Amino acid sequence: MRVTDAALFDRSQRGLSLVRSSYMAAQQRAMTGKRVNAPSDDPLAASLSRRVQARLARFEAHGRAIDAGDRRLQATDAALSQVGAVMDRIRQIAIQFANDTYGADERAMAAAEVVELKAALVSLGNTEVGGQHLFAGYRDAAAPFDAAGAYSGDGAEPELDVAPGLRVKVGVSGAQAFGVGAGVNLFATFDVLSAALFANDGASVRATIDSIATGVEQVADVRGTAGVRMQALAAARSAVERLSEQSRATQASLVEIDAVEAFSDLARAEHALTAAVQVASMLPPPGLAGGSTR
Amino acid sequence: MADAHDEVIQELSGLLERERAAAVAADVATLESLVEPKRRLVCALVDGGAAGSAVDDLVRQSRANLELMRNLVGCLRSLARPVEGEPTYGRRGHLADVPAAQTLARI
Amino acid sequence: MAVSSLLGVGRTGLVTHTLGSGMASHGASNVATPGFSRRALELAGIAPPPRHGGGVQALGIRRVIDPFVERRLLGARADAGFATRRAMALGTLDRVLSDDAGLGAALDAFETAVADLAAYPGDRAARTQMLARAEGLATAFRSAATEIRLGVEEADQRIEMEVREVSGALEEIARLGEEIAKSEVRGEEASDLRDHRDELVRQVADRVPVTVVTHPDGRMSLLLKGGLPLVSPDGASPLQTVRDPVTGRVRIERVTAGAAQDVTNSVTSGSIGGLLAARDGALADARADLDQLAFDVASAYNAVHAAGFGLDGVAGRDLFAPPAAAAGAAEAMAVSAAVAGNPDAIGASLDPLALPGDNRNALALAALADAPIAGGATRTVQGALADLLAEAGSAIRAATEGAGRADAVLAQTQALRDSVSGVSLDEQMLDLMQYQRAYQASLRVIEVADQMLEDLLALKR
Repeated sequence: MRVTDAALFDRSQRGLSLVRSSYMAAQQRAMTGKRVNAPSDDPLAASLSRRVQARLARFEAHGRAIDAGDRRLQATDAALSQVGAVMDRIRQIAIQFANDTYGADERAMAAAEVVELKAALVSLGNTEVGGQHLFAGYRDAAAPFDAAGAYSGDGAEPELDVAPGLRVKVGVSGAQAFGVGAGVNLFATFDVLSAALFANDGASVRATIDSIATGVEQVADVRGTAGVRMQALAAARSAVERLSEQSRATQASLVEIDAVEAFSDLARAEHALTAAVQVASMLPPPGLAGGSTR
Repeated sequence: MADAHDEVIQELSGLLERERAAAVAADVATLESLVEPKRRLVCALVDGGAAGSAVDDLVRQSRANLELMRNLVGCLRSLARPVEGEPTYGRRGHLADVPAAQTLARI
Repeated sequence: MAVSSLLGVGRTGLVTHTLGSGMASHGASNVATPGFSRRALELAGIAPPPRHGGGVQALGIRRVIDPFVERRLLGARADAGFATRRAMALGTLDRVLSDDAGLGAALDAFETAVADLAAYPGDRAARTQMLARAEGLATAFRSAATEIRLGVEEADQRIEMEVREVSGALEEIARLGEEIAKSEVRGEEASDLRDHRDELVRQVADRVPVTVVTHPDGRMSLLLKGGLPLVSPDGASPLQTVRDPVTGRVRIERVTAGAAQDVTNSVTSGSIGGLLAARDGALADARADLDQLAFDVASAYNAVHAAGFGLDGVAGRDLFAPPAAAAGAAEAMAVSAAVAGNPDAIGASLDPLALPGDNRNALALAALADAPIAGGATRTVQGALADLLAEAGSAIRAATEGAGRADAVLAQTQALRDSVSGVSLDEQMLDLMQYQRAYQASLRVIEVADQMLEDLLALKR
C-alpha cells in the first residue's frame, strides 16, 4: 500500500489525540480518587453506587435517630430512677407512720415531707431534655404536670425509625408511669397520705401502703420498659454500624480506586503521552518539508 | 552499388518508421537506442553518395520525426520544470489563479 | 517552430507545450490539499487520418481515483460524523449526571432531613433544615433539567449552522458541475475542479447521508438518503431549518422550486443525523425521566404532607409546588409557597392537639424514601434515579464506543483512499527526475537527428 505524507501525518495525529485523552482520564481519576466520575465510565457501577450512597445516608439518619432516642431514654431512666427513690421514701414513711405509736406532731412533720416529696415528684414528672418534656407524650413543649399533679400531656410514646424496617418507641408514657388515667395515680396517693398524716389518721395511713406498693411496681415496670427500649436501640446501633461498614466497603470497590494505583496509572499515561508527542513532532505536516508554499 | 544503397535506404526507412512510432509513444528509451544505428546508416549512405527520390522520402520522414520529437521535448520540459505553486483549492474555495490548469488543445 | 502543413501533422491532436507548471510540481504543491488526487500522464495514440502519414499524439491527464473506494469513503465519513457528533452531544448528559455534582447528593440530603425531623419535630432548626434541603432538591432538579434543555438547544443551534454549511457546499457543487461540463466540452481538462467538487461532496457527506450519481457530461447529482436530490444537473436544492411550532425543535426542509419539504427523517447519518439522534434519543429520554421523577416526588410528598398539621395547627398544605403535568415538572420544581420561608408550616403531626412532639406524619414522610412512588409505582425514588443513571450512562458509553469504532473505520478507509489517490512527495520527486532525464535524453536525440537531416540534405545537392 502506498504511504502518502498526508496519511502518515494523519495517523500520528490520530494516535496522539487518543493518547492525550487517556492521559486526561488518568489525571482525573488520580485527582478525584474515583474510577467512576460520570455514569458513562461504568453505568452499572454508577447505578449501584447511587443506591449504596442512598443507603449510607439513611444509615447515618438512623444513627442520629438512635442517638436522639438514647438520650431521651437515658434521661427517662434517670428520672424514673429518682422517682423510684421518691417512691421508696414514701413507702418508708407510710409504713413507719402507720404505726400509731407516732403522734400528731410527728405525723404532721411526716406529712410536710410528703408534701415536699410530691413537689419533687411533680418536678420529676416535668423533666425535660433539649426542650422536650419526657413524660408529656407528644405535647412535649410544655410541662405536663401542674403543682397539683393534674396531667396535661397525652401519654403518647413517640417512635423513631432506628434501623431498616425497625421503628421503636423512644419514650415512655408519663401517664402510665405516674398513673394518670389508669393505674395508681401517684400524686393522688401522695395527697391521700399527707392528708391522713395531717389528720393523724393511722388507719388511713395504713390504707395507702398497698397503693404505694403498686405505685412502686408501676414505676419499676415503666423503668423496665425504658431499659428494654434502650437495649433495642443498642442492638439497632450495632446492626446499623455493621450495615454501614458493609456499604462503605461496597462503595469503595465500585467507585473509589486505590490512590497508589491511580497515581501509577497517571505516571504510565504521562510517559505514553510524552513519547507520542516526541514521535509526532518528528513528522512535519505534509507540504512543509517539500518547501512548497501553502 | 545501387543495390547496396537500396538496402541501406530500406533499413534507414524502417528505422525512421520505428523512430516515428517511438516519438508518438513518447518512448525515449527506444529513441535513444536508435541513435547509433541511425548514425551508422546515414554515414553509410553519405559515403555511398546516394541520391534521388529515395533520399527525398528519407528527408521527409526525418523532418516529420523531428517535428514530433521537438513536440515531445517541449512536453517533457514542462513536466520536468519544478515550479513553486499554490494549492489549487482550499477553505475559501477554488483559487482564481490556477497555475496548474492544464489544457488539452486540439488544433 | 511553426507546424508545417507539408508534414501533415498540423490538423490532428497535438498537445501544445503550454502546459502550465509541471504535473509533478503541481502534485507537490497540493500534497496537503485535502482530497487532491495525484495525476497520471496518459498517452493515447490516435490513429492517423488516412491522407496524412504523420502520427498524432494525445497527452491526457487523468486523476488517479478508485470510484469504489470513494463511495466507501463517503459512507465512512457519514458514519463517523454521525457517531462523533452524537457522542459529543451526549457529553452534556454525562456531565449533568455525574453523581457528585447534584441530584443524588441533594436527594440524600433531603431524605435524611425528613428523617431527622421525626426525631425533633418541634425543633426550629430541624424544620429549617428540612425546608432548606427540600429547596436544595428542587434546585438540583431544576438545574439538571435546565442543563439538559440547554444541551438540546445547543444541538438545535448546531443543526442550524451545519445545514447552512451544507447548503453553501451544495451551491458550490452545482456551480463546479457547470464549470466542469463547460470545460470538458471545450476539450479542457478539469481534474482540479473535479477534485475540489469531490472534496465538497465529502464535506457534505460528513454532515448528511448522500450518494453520488455522475453524469456523462461531467455534472453530478447528489442524492439524500431516500433518493431526494440535493444537487441535480439543473442545480442545487438547498436545505433550510425551521422550528416545529409545537415542540420548538429544529426540523430540516429541502427547498425545490420554491416549495419546502420536510426531510428530517431522512437525515439518519452524518453529523446532523448524530445531533438529531442525540437530541431526540438519550437527551429526550433523560429529560422525560427527570420530569417524571420530579412529578412523582412532588406528588407523593405532597399527598402525605397534606395530612400533616404544622405547628400552627393547620393542615392541607403542599410541600412542593404541585406540578401541572409530568412534562416540564423538573424545571418547574420548587418548594410550595405555603411552606417556603415558613418552617412552622411543615406538617409533621397528625393531630393538631398533639403538637409539637407528634412526629407521626414526619415518619410517614420519611417512609416515602423506601416506598415505590416512582416509575409508575414500581421503584423508590433513589432506585429510579439509579436506573436513570444506568440508562443514560449506557447510552453515552455506547455512543462513545460507536464513535471510536466509526473513527477507526474512517481512518482505515481514508488510508486506503490515500494509498490510491494521495500524493507522495517521494513519488513526485521520482516522477520529476524521470521527466528530467527523459527531457535531457530527447534533447540529445534531437541533436543527432538534426545533424543526420543535415547530412541527408547535403546528399541531395
